[in-house]
Amino acid sequence: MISEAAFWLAFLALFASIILIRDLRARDNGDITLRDIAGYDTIRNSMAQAAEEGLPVHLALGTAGIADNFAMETVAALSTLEFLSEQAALTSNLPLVSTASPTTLVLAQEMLSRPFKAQDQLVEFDPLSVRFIGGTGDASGATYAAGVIDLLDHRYVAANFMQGRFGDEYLLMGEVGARNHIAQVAGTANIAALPFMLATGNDVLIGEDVFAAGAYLLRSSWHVAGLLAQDIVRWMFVAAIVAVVALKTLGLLP
Amino acid sequence: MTRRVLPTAVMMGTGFIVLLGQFTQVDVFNTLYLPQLSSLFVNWASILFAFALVLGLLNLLAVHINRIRQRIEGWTYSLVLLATVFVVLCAGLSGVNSLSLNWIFRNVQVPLQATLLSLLVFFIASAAFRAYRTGSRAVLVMLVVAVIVLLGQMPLGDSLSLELVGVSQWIRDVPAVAGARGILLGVALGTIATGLRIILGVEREKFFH
Repeated sequence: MISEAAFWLAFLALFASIILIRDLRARDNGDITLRDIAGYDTIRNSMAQAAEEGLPVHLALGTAGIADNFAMETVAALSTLEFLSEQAALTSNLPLVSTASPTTLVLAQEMLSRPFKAQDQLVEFDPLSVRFIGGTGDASGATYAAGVIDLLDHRYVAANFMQGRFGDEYLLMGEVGARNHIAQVAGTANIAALPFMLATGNDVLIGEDVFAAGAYLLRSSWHVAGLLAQDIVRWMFVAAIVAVVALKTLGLLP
Repeated sequence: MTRRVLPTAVMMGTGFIVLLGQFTQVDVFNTLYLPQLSSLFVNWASILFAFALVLGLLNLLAVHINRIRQRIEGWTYSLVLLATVFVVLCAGLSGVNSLSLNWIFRNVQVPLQATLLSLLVFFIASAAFRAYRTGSRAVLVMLVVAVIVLLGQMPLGDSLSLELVGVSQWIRDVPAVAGARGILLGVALGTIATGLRIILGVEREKFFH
Protein backbone atom coordinates (compact mmCIF):
# COMPACT_ATOMS: atom_id res chain seq x y z
CA MET A 1 0.00 0.00 0.00
CA ILE A 2 1.33 3.47 -0.92
CA SER A 3 2.31 5.58 2.11
CA GLU A 4 0.79 8.99 2.78
CA ALA A 5 4.17 10.72 2.35
CA ALA A 6 4.79 9.02 -1.01
CA PHE A 7 1.30 10.02 -2.17
CA TRP A 8 1.82 13.72 -1.36
CA LEU A 9 5.33 13.76 -2.83
CA ALA A 10 3.96 12.21 -6.02
CA PHE A 11 1.14 14.76 -6.00
CA LEU A 12 3.58 17.68 -5.67
CA ALA A 13 5.78 16.25 -8.45
CA LEU A 14 2.71 15.88 -10.68
CA PHE A 15 1.55 19.43 -9.91
CA ALA A 16 5.02 20.84 -10.65
CA SER A 17 5.20 18.84 -13.91
CA ILE A 18 1.82 20.18 -15.04
CA ILE A 19 2.98 23.76 -14.30
CA LEU A 20 6.18 23.21 -16.32
CA ILE A 21 4.30 21.66 -19.26
CA ARG A 22 1.60 24.33 -19.24
CA ASP A 23 4.31 27.02 -19.11
CA LEU A 24 5.91 25.69 -22.27
CA ARG A 25 2.49 25.62 -23.97
CA ALA A 26 1.63 29.11 -22.67
CA ARG A 27 4.86 30.43 -24.20
CA ASP A 28 3.99 28.90 -27.58
CA ASN A 29 0.40 30.11 -27.43
CA GLY A 30 0.66 33.58 -25.91
CA ASP A 31 -2.97 34.66 -26.28
CA ILE A 32 -4.64 32.43 -23.69
CA THR A 33 -8.05 33.84 -22.75
CA LEU A 34 -8.77 34.08 -19.05
CA ARG A 35 -12.26 34.66 -17.65
CA ASP A 36 -12.92 38.23 -16.56
CA ILE A 37 -12.32 39.10 -12.92
CA ALA A 38 -13.78 42.56 -12.29
CA GLY A 39 -11.35 43.29 -9.45
CA TYR A 40 -8.30 42.96 -11.66
CA ASP A 41 -9.93 45.06 -14.40
CA THR A 42 -10.44 47.79 -11.80
CA ILE A 43 -6.83 47.55 -10.62
CA ARG A 44 -5.57 47.63 -14.21
CA ASN A 45 -7.50 50.80 -15.01
CA SER A 46 -6.94 52.51 -11.69
CA MET A 47 -3.41 53.81 -12.09
CA ALA A 48 -4.14 55.89 -15.20
CA GLN A 49 -7.24 57.29 -13.54
CA ALA A 50 -5.32 58.03 -10.33
CA ALA A 51 -2.58 59.79 -12.31
CA GLU A 52 -5.23 61.97 -14.00
CA GLU A 53 -6.67 62.87 -10.60
CA GLY A 54 -3.18 63.40 -9.16
CA LEU A 55 -3.94 61.05 -6.27
CA PRO A 56 -2.17 57.88 -5.17
CA VAL A 57 -3.85 54.48 -4.90
CA HIS A 58 -3.54 52.60 -1.62
CA LEU A 59 -2.52 48.96 -1.49
CA ALA A 60 -2.94 47.17 1.86
CA LEU A 61 -0.85 43.99 1.96
CA GLY A 62 -2.55 42.62 5.07
CA THR A 63 -1.33 41.21 8.34
CA ALA A 64 0.85 38.33 7.10
CA GLY A 65 4.54 38.43 6.32
CA ILE A 66 6.64 36.42 3.89
CA ALA A 67 7.86 33.93 6.49
CA ASP A 68 4.69 32.77 8.21
CA ASN A 69 1.74 30.44 7.62
CA PHE A 70 0.00 32.82 5.24
CA ALA A 71 3.08 33.89 3.30
CA MET A 72 1.68 32.69 -0.03
CA GLU A 73 -1.22 35.14 0.23
CA THR A 74 1.28 37.95 0.71
CA VAL A 75 3.43 36.72 -2.20
CA ALA A 76 0.31 36.70 -4.40
CA ALA A 77 -0.54 40.25 -3.28
CA LEU A 78 2.99 41.31 -4.14
CA SER A 79 2.18 40.53 -7.79
CA THR A 80 -0.35 43.35 -7.61
CA LEU A 81 2.34 45.59 -6.13
CA GLU A 82 4.71 44.58 -8.95
CA PHE A 83 2.08 45.69 -11.46
CA LEU A 84 1.40 48.96 -9.60
CA SER A 85 5.12 49.73 -9.36
CA GLU A 86 5.58 49.29 -13.12
CA GLN A 87 2.65 51.63 -13.72
CA ALA A 88 3.96 54.08 -11.11
CA ALA A 89 7.28 54.41 -12.93
CA LEU A 90 5.38 55.27 -16.12
CA THR A 91 3.03 57.79 -14.53
CA SER A 92 5.32 59.08 -11.73
CA ASN A 93 2.39 58.52 -9.38
CA LEU A 94 3.60 56.39 -6.49
CA PRO A 95 1.06 54.15 -4.78
CA LEU A 96 0.77 54.23 -1.01
CA VAL A 97 1.49 50.76 0.39
CA SER A 98 0.82 49.61 3.95
CA THR A 99 1.76 46.39 5.69
CA ALA A 100 1.61 44.92 9.18
CA SER A 101 4.72 42.81 8.68
CA PRO A 102 8.30 44.15 8.65
CA THR A 103 9.44 41.34 6.33
CA THR A 104 6.87 42.44 3.76
CA LEU A 105 7.95 46.06 4.23
CA VAL A 106 11.50 45.35 3.11
CA LEU A 107 10.36 43.40 0.06
CA ALA A 108 7.68 45.92 -0.89
CA GLN A 109 10.13 48.84 -0.73
CA GLU A 110 12.58 46.97 -2.93
CA MET A 111 9.87 45.97 -5.37
CA LEU A 112 8.41 49.45 -5.64
CA SER A 113 11.81 51.03 -6.22
CA ARG A 114 12.88 48.56 -8.92
CA PRO A 115 11.22 50.14 -12.01
CA PHE A 116 12.53 53.55 -10.91
CA LYS A 117 16.06 52.11 -10.65
CA ALA A 118 15.69 50.49 -14.06
CA GLN A 119 14.71 53.84 -15.59
CA ASP A 120 17.44 55.67 -13.67
CA GLN A 121 14.80 57.75 -11.89
CA LEU A 122 15.46 56.64 -8.34
CA VAL A 123 15.24 60.25 -7.19
CA GLU A 124 11.47 60.11 -7.83
CA PHE A 125 11.05 57.13 -5.50
CA ASP A 126 9.99 57.86 -1.93
CA PRO A 127 10.76 54.91 0.40
CA LEU A 128 8.16 56.25 2.86
CA SER A 129 5.41 55.47 0.37
CA VAL A 130 5.64 51.95 1.82
CA ARG A 131 4.57 52.06 5.45
CA PHE A 132 5.01 49.62 8.26
CA ILE A 133 2.03 49.94 10.57
CA GLY A 134 2.39 46.93 12.84
CA GLY A 135 -0.14 44.39 14.01
CA THR A 136 1.25 41.21 12.46
CA GLY A 137 -0.93 38.12 12.84
CA ASP A 138 -4.63 37.53 13.18
CA ALA A 139 -4.64 38.34 16.93
CA SER A 140 -3.43 41.92 16.58
CA GLY A 141 -5.10 42.87 13.31
CA ALA A 142 -6.92 45.72 15.05
CA THR A 143 -3.62 47.59 15.35
CA TYR A 144 -3.09 47.37 11.62
CA ALA A 145 -6.70 48.36 10.99
CA ALA A 146 -6.27 51.50 13.14
CA GLY A 147 -3.30 52.63 11.02
CA VAL A 148 -5.04 51.96 7.70
CA ILE A 149 -8.20 53.75 8.88
CA ASP A 150 -6.06 56.81 9.56
CA LEU A 151 -4.57 56.62 6.06
CA LEU A 152 -7.98 56.28 4.41
CA ASP A 153 -9.48 59.06 6.51
CA HIS A 154 -6.68 61.62 6.23
CA ARG A 155 -4.86 60.86 3.00
CA TYR A 156 -6.84 61.37 -0.17
CA VAL A 157 -6.54 58.21 -2.26
CA ALA A 158 -8.03 57.48 -5.67
CA ALA A 159 -8.64 53.79 -4.95
CA ASN A 160 -8.11 51.32 -2.15
CA PHE A 161 -6.87 47.80 -2.88
CA MET A 162 -6.70 45.34 -0.02
CA GLN A 163 -5.14 42.04 -0.92
CA GLY A 164 -3.44 39.54 1.37
CA ARG A 165 -4.29 38.17 4.79
CA PHE A 166 -7.19 39.90 6.50
CA GLY A 167 -9.46 38.81 9.35
CA ASP A 168 -12.49 40.44 10.97
CA GLU A 169 -10.57 43.72 11.21
CA TYR A 170 -11.06 44.11 7.46
CA LEU A 171 -14.53 45.50 8.12
CA LEU A 172 -13.11 48.44 10.09
CA MET A 173 -10.95 49.46 7.13
CA GLY A 174 -13.34 48.55 4.31
CA GLU A 175 -16.21 50.41 5.91
CA VAL A 176 -14.14 53.61 6.28
CA GLY A 177 -13.17 53.31 2.60
CA ALA A 178 -16.80 52.82 1.62
CA ARG A 179 -17.92 55.82 3.72
CA ASN A 180 -15.30 57.98 2.01
CA HIS A 181 -16.63 56.79 -1.38
CA ILE A 182 -13.28 55.31 -2.38
CA ALA A 183 -13.36 52.67 -5.14
CA GLN A 184 -12.28 49.44 -3.46
CA VAL A 185 -11.03 46.02 -4.47
CA ALA A 186 -10.65 43.52 -1.65
CA GLY A 187 -9.44 39.94 -1.63
CA THR A 188 -8.37 37.31 0.84
CA ALA A 189 -8.20 33.55 1.22
CA ASN A 190 -9.70 33.79 4.72
CA ILE A 191 -13.33 32.69 4.37
CA ALA A 192 -14.26 34.40 7.66
CA ALA A 193 -13.46 37.83 6.17
CA LEU A 194 -15.07 37.29 2.76
CA PRO A 195 -18.66 38.21 3.79
CA PHE A 196 -17.35 41.55 5.12
CA MET A 197 -15.57 42.16 1.84
CA LEU A 198 -18.73 41.40 -0.13
CA ALA A 199 -20.62 43.89 2.00
CA THR A 200 -18.11 46.74 1.65
CA GLY A 201 -15.79 46.11 -1.30
CA ASN A 202 -16.82 47.22 -4.77
CA ASP A 203 -15.05 44.22 -6.30
CA VAL A 204 -14.07 41.14 -4.34
CA LEU A 205 -11.35 38.60 -5.11
CA ILE A 206 -12.71 35.40 -3.60
CA GLY A 207 -10.30 32.76 -2.34
CA GLU A 208 -8.26 31.45 -5.24
CA ASP A 209 -8.80 34.68 -7.24
CA VAL A 210 -6.20 36.24 -4.92
CA PHE A 211 -3.55 33.88 -6.31
CA ALA A 212 -4.37 34.82 -9.91
CA ALA A 213 -2.89 38.34 -9.64
CA GLY A 214 0.29 37.46 -11.54
CA ALA A 215 -1.61 35.85 -14.41
CA TYR A 216 -4.13 38.68 -14.77
CA LEU A 217 -1.96 41.74 -14.11
CA LEU A 218 1.55 40.69 -15.15
CA ARG A 219 0.49 38.18 -17.84
CA SER A 220 3.62 36.14 -17.16
CA SER A 221 3.55 32.69 -18.74
CA TRP A 222 4.53 31.04 -15.43
CA HIS A 223 1.58 32.55 -13.60
CA VAL A 224 -0.81 31.62 -16.40
CA ALA A 225 0.65 28.10 -16.36
CA GLY A 226 0.10 27.90 -12.60
CA LEU A 227 -3.52 28.93 -13.08
CA LEU A 228 -4.09 26.32 -15.79
CA ALA A 229 -2.39 23.64 -13.65
CA GLN A 230 -4.71 24.53 -10.75
CA ASP A 231 -7.71 23.98 -13.03
CA ILE A 232 -6.43 20.56 -14.14
CA VAL A 233 -5.67 19.43 -10.58
CA ARG A 234 -9.04 20.74 -9.40
CA TRP A 235 -10.83 18.57 -11.99
CA MET A 236 -8.74 15.62 -10.84
CA PHE A 237 -9.88 16.25 -7.25
CA VAL A 238 -13.52 16.62 -8.35
CA ALA A 239 -13.30 13.33 -10.29
CA ALA A 240 -11.71 11.62 -7.26
CA ILE A 241 -14.41 12.96 -4.89
CA VAL A 242 -17.23 11.84 -7.24
CA ALA A 243 -15.61 8.42 -7.71
CA VAL A 244 -15.18 7.87 -3.96
CA VAL A 245 -18.78 8.97 -3.27
CA ALA A 246 -20.06 6.60 -6.01
CA LEU A 247 -17.95 3.67 -4.75
CA LYS A 248 -19.05 4.29 -1.15
CA THR A 249 -22.71 4.48 -2.22
CA LEU A 250 -22.37 1.20 -4.11
CA GLY A 251 -20.73 -0.37 -1.06
CA LEU A 252 -17.50 -1.06 -2.92
CA LEU A 253 -15.41 0.90 -0.42
CA PRO A 254 -15.27 0.22 3.33
CA MET B 1 25.52 35.90 -13.82
CA THR B 2 26.61 34.80 -10.30
CA ARG B 3 24.43 37.53 -8.80
CA ARG B 4 21.38 35.91 -10.38
CA VAL B 5 22.26 32.21 -10.28
CA LEU B 6 23.60 31.97 -6.72
CA PRO B 7 20.61 33.52 -4.92
CA THR B 8 18.23 31.47 -7.11
CA ALA B 9 20.12 28.27 -6.27
CA VAL B 10 20.10 29.11 -2.54
CA MET B 11 16.38 29.92 -2.67
CA MET B 12 15.51 26.71 -4.54
CA GLY B 13 17.76 24.55 -2.36
CA THR B 14 16.36 26.00 0.87
CA GLY B 15 12.81 25.63 -0.42
CA PHE B 16 13.32 21.97 -1.31
CA ILE B 17 14.97 21.19 2.05
CA VAL B 18 12.19 22.87 4.06
CA LEU B 19 9.52 21.12 1.96
CA LEU B 20 11.09 17.65 2.09
CA GLY B 21 11.93 18.14 5.78
CA GLN B 22 8.20 18.07 6.53
CA PHE B 23 8.06 14.40 5.49
CA THR B 24 9.56 13.06 8.71
CA GLN B 25 8.25 9.54 8.04
CA VAL B 26 10.53 9.09 5.00
CA ASP B 27 13.73 7.33 6.11
CA VAL B 28 15.94 8.75 3.34
CA PHE B 29 15.08 12.32 4.36
CA ASN B 30 15.78 11.51 8.01
CA THR B 31 19.16 10.00 7.06
CA LEU B 32 19.98 13.26 5.25
CA TYR B 33 18.92 15.25 8.37
CA LEU B 34 16.37 17.20 6.31
CA PRO B 35 13.84 17.65 9.17
CA GLN B 36 16.58 19.13 11.38
CA LEU B 37 17.83 21.39 8.56
CA SER B 38 14.24 22.43 7.89
CA SER B 39 13.79 23.48 11.56
CA LEU B 40 17.09 25.34 11.45
CA PHE B 41 16.03 27.36 8.38
CA VAL B 42 12.66 28.17 9.95
CA ASN B 43 14.53 29.44 13.06
CA TRP B 44 16.72 31.58 10.84
CA ALA B 45 13.56 33.10 9.39
CA SER B 46 12.60 34.18 12.94
CA ILE B 47 15.99 35.87 13.36
CA LEU B 48 15.54 37.67 10.03
CA PHE B 49 12.09 38.78 11.24
CA ALA B 50 13.74 40.43 14.27
CA PHE B 51 16.14 42.37 12.02
CA ALA B 52 13.27 43.36 9.73
CA LEU B 53 11.39 44.63 12.78
CA VAL B 54 14.17 47.14 13.44
CA LEU B 55 13.80 48.38 9.85
CA GLY B 56 10.04 48.53 10.39
CA LEU B 57 10.51 50.65 13.51
CA LEU B 58 12.84 53.02 11.62
CA ASN B 59 10.22 53.30 8.85
CA LEU B 60 7.52 54.08 11.42
CA LEU B 61 9.69 56.73 13.08
CA ALA B 62 10.64 58.30 9.73
CA VAL B 63 6.98 58.56 8.64
CA HIS B 64 5.90 60.23 11.89
CA ILE B 65 8.91 62.54 12.25
CA ASN B 66 8.14 63.66 8.70
CA ARG B 67 4.52 64.34 9.69
CA ILE B 68 5.61 66.42 12.68
CA ARG B 69 8.15 68.38 10.63
CA GLN B 70 5.66 69.23 7.92
CA ARG B 71 2.82 69.86 10.42
CA ILE B 72 0.57 67.48 8.47
CA GLU B 73 -3.00 67.26 9.82
CA GLY B 74 -3.01 65.11 12.96
CA TRP B 75 0.72 65.63 13.63
CA THR B 76 0.07 65.82 17.37
CA TYR B 77 -0.92 62.15 17.27
CA SER B 78 2.47 61.45 15.73
CA LEU B 79 4.04 63.11 18.78
CA VAL B 80 2.02 60.81 21.03
CA LEU B 81 3.18 57.84 18.96
CA LEU B 82 6.85 58.81 19.26
CA ALA B 83 6.48 59.29 23.02
CA THR B 84 4.77 55.89 23.27
CA VAL B 85 7.55 54.20 21.30
CA PHE B 86 10.10 55.75 23.68
CA VAL B 87 8.19 54.65 26.81
CA VAL B 88 7.66 51.08 25.53
CA LEU B 89 11.31 50.78 24.48
CA CYS B 90 12.42 51.91 27.95
CA ALA B 91 9.97 49.49 29.59
CA GLY B 92 11.35 46.67 27.48
CA LEU B 93 15.00 47.30 28.39
CA SER B 94 14.78 44.82 31.26
CA GLY B 95 13.45 42.07 28.99
CA VAL B 96 10.26 41.06 27.19
CA ASN B 97 8.83 39.57 30.41
CA SER B 98 9.38 42.71 32.48
CA LEU B 99 6.53 43.78 34.77
CA SER B 100 6.25 47.25 33.25
CA LEU B 101 6.02 45.89 29.69
CA ASN B 102 3.39 43.35 30.72
CA TRP B 103 1.46 46.10 32.52
CA ILE B 104 1.45 48.25 29.36
CA PHE B 105 0.37 45.28 27.26
CA ARG B 106 -2.46 44.24 29.62
CA ASN B 107 -3.74 47.72 30.45
CA VAL B 108 -3.20 49.65 27.22
CA GLN B 109 -2.74 47.39 24.20
CA VAL B 110 -5.35 44.74 25.01
CA PRO B 111 -8.18 47.15 26.01
CA LEU B 112 -7.49 49.35 22.97
CA GLN B 113 -7.66 46.36 20.61
CA ALA B 114 -10.82 45.09 22.30
CA THR B 115 -12.42 48.53 22.03
CA LEU B 116 -11.64 48.81 18.34
CA LEU B 117 -12.91 45.30 17.57
CA SER B 118 -16.08 45.90 19.58
CA LEU B 119 -16.94 48.60 17.05
CA LEU B 120 -17.39 45.78 14.53
CA VAL B 121 -21.03 45.37 15.64
CA PHE B 122 -21.88 48.88 14.48
CA PHE B 123 -19.76 48.55 11.36
CA ILE B 124 -21.59 45.32 10.44
CA ALA B 125 -24.95 47.08 10.78
CA SER B 126 -23.72 50.01 8.70
CA ALA B 127 -22.22 47.71 6.02
CA ALA B 128 -25.40 45.62 5.90
CA PHE B 129 -27.54 48.71 5.40
CA ARG B 130 -25.28 50.00 2.62
CA ALA B 131 -25.24 46.59 0.97
CA TYR B 132 -29.05 46.48 1.16
CA ARG B 133 -29.25 49.86 -0.57
CA THR B 134 -27.14 48.67 -3.52
CA GLY B 135 -29.97 46.28 -4.46
CA SER B 136 -27.54 43.64 -5.70
CA ARG B 137 -29.23 40.21 -5.75
CA ALA B 138 -26.18 38.40 -4.39
CA VAL B 139 -25.91 40.80 -1.48
CA LEU B 140 -29.67 40.56 -0.78
CA VAL B 141 -29.41 36.75 -0.68
CA MET B 142 -26.45 37.07 1.69
CA LEU B 143 -28.40 39.41 3.99
CA VAL B 144 -31.52 37.19 4.04
CA VAL B 145 -29.40 34.13 4.82
CA ALA B 146 -27.54 36.07 7.53
CA VAL B 147 -30.85 37.07 9.16
CA ILE B 148 -32.18 33.47 9.06
CA VAL B 149 -28.97 32.06 10.54
CA LEU B 150 -28.85 34.77 13.23
CA LEU B 151 -32.49 34.22 14.22
CA GLY B 152 -31.96 30.46 14.22
CA GLN B 153 -29.09 30.75 16.67
CA MET B 154 -30.88 33.14 19.07
CA PRO B 155 -33.05 31.84 21.96
CA LEU B 156 -35.81 33.92 20.35
CA GLY B 157 -35.62 31.67 17.27
CA ASP B 158 -36.98 28.66 19.21
CA SER B 159 -40.09 30.53 20.27
CA LEU B 160 -40.64 31.99 16.79
CA SER B 161 -40.55 28.74 14.86
CA LEU B 162 -38.77 25.42 15.21
CA GLU B 163 -38.59 25.18 11.39
CA LEU B 164 -36.53 28.37 11.38
CA VAL B 165 -33.98 26.72 13.67
CA GLY B 166 -33.92 23.68 11.38
CA VAL B 167 -33.45 25.82 8.27
CA SER B 168 -30.69 27.78 9.99
CA GLN B 169 -28.92 24.56 10.94
CA TRP B 170 -29.33 23.16 7.41
CA ILE B 171 -27.87 26.35 5.87
CA ARG B 172 -24.83 26.07 8.16
CA ASP B 173 -24.37 22.35 7.61
CA VAL B 174 -24.99 22.00 3.87
CA PRO B 175 -24.65 25.05 1.54
CA ALA B 176 -22.26 26.99 3.82
CA VAL B 177 -19.94 24.02 4.33
CA ALA B 178 -20.09 23.10 0.63
CA GLY B 179 -19.23 26.67 -0.41
CA ALA B 180 -16.48 26.96 2.18
CA ARG B 181 -14.92 23.65 1.09
CA GLY B 182 -15.02 24.74 -2.55
CA ILE B 183 -13.25 28.00 -1.69
CA LEU B 184 -10.74 26.21 0.56
CA LEU B 185 -9.93 23.69 -2.18
CA GLY B 186 -9.19 26.56 -4.58
CA VAL B 187 -7.13 28.36 -1.92
CA ALA B 188 -5.12 25.21 -1.19
CA LEU B 189 -4.35 24.71 -4.89
CA GLY B 190 -3.44 28.40 -5.29
CA THR B 191 -1.16 28.20 -2.25
CA ILE B 192 0.56 25.06 -3.57
CA ALA B 193 0.97 26.56 -7.06
CA THR B 194 2.50 29.76 -5.62
CA GLY B 195 4.79 27.73 -3.33
CA LEU B 196 5.91 25.51 -6.20
CA ARG B 197 6.64 28.55 -8.36
CA ILE B 198 8.92 29.88 -5.59
CA ILE B 199 10.68 26.53 -5.12
CA LEU B 200 11.12 26.18 -8.89
CA GLY B 201 12.78 29.62 -8.90
CA VAL B 202 10.10 31.25 -11.02
CA GLU B 203 9.19 33.93 -8.48
CA ARG B 204 12.83 34.96 -8.02
CA GLU B 205 12.12 38.32 -9.67
CA LYS B 206 9.98 39.18 -6.65
CA PHE B 207 12.73 38.54 -4.14
CA PHE B 208 15.83 39.81 -5.90
CA HIS B 209 16.67 41.47 -9.18
